[in-house]
Amino acid sequence: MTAKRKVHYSVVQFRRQPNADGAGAVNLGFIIGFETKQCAAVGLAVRASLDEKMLAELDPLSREVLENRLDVLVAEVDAALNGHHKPKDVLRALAAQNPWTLCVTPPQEAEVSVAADFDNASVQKVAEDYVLRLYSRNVLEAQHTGPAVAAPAPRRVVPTHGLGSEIPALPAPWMIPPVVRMLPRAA
Amino acid sequence: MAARRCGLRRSALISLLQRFTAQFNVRRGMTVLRQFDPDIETLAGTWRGELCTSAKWLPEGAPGGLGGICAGYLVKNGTTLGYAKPSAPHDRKLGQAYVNNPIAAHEKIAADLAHDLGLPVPPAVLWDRGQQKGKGSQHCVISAVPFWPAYTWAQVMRLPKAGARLLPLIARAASAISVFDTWLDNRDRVNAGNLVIRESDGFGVQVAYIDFAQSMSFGWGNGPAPGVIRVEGRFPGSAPLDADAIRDTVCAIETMLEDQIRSIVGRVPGAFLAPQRGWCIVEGLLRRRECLRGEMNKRARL
Repeated sequence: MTAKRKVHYSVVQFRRQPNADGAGAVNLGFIIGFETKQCAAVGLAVRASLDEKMLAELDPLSREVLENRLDVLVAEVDAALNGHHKPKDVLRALAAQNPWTLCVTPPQEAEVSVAADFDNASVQKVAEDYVLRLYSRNVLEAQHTGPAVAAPAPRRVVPTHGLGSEIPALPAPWMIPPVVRMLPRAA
Repeated sequence: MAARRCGLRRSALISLLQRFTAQFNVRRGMTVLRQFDPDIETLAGTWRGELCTSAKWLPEGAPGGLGGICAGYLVKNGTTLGYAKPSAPHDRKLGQAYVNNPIAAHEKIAADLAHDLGLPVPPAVLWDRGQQKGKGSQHCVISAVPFWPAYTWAQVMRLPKAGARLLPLIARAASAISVFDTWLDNRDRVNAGNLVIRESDGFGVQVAYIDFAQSMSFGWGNGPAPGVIRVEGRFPGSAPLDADAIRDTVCAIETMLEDQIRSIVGRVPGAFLAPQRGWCIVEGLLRRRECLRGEMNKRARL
C-alpha cells in the first residue's frame, strides 16, 4: 500500500556567476517543506564535502561562507521560520532573502509515493525519507552543471524506520540526517 | 523656444553642480565609500542621466518568483543583471501604506542622490514593463547588481571570523549610510538582507546598501514630512562609529543645491510618482536636511 504526499523544495546554490538561471552553479543541497498529520516542518540537507581545489581558489569570504555552510543555512532557516506557519511560505521567505551568491531558489512542488504507515514515523525520519526520494529524482543534478564534489561511490543508506524498501542509493558526501525544524501551528 | 533654452541652461547648470559635488566629495575622501566595479560605475553614470530605461529587459525566472513584499525578480539585458521591483506590492493584505507606496520612485531617487553624494547605493533606473495581466504593476525600478560574488550581511554575521574582520572595514560606509537613512527616513535598515558585501583582492571590501522602498513618502504619505525626529543607527549596529564619515556626509548633503534635489525628484514621471507625493518628498528632503546636523550631532561630534 502506498500513498501520495506533496513536498516543497528549494535548491541551495553557490552561484559563481550572477546569472539567475543557476548555470555554472554549485548545488550545496536543498531545503524541504512538508506536513504530516502531526505537524508542519522544514528540513535542510547539505553536501558534507566540497571540492578542496575549488575552495582554495575562492576569495576569503566565499571560502568561509562555504566552509560554514551548515551554520549559515541553519541560521537562515531559523530566521525564516519567524511568523510563518506554512512550509512553503518559509521556503519563499528564504528565496526572497537569499537571491545572491549563496542562493536559495524559489520553491517547487513534488509529489512522492510513500508507504502507507509513513505518517506514523517521526518527523526526522519523514524528512530523511523525503530527502532521499527527492535526491533520487535528480532535482539537484537537473540544475547542477559544475563540479561540486569528487565523484563518490554510491552507497546504500539502510532505512531504519521501515518506511519502504525502495529508498534510493545516496552518494557518500551527503549529510544525513537533515536538520529539521518544526513550525508552530496557526492559531 | 525660450522655454527650451531655459531648460537647456537649467540642465547644464545641474550637470555643472553634479560635477562640483563629485569633486567636493573626492577631495573629502568620500569616494572610498563607493567602490563598485568600473563597469557598474559607468552604468551608474548613464542611469544618473537616464530616467527610464528603453532597453529590452528579459526576466530571469518568474516575475515575483523571489517573493518578498515587493515581489521582485531578476532581469537581464545583455550581460547586465538587475533586480526589478514592481512599484506596487502584490499582497493587498499589507495595508494602505504599502499599497500606495511608490517603491520604484523611492529607489530611483535614493540611487540618484547616493550617486551624487558618492554613497554605496547601487544605480537604479525606472522601467515601464508594459501592461501586466492580473496582478503586478507595470511601473518598476531596476537596481543593478553591484558586484559579484555578493553576500548578505545576514549570511556574513553567522561567521564569527568574517564578522570580526569586516566590521572595522565597513565602519565608514555604515556611518555614512546612517546619515543618508536618517535624511531619507528609511525605516527598513533593520533587515540584514539589505546590506550586501564582497571581499576581493582588487577592491578590498565592497558594500552596497539596498532597498529604499520604505523610505521618504512611505512614512510621510502625502505630507508634509516631519522634521528629523529619529536618527537611524548604523547598520550593522556593531560597526564602529566613524565620526568623520558622518560629518562628511552631513556636509555633502548640506552642500547639495536645492535645484539638484528638486531636479532628481521632480523629473520622475507622474505614472511612477503622484505630484502630491513628489512635492512631499522634495519639501521633506529640503526641510529635513536643515535639522540633520543638529540631530546627528547627538550621535557624534561633527
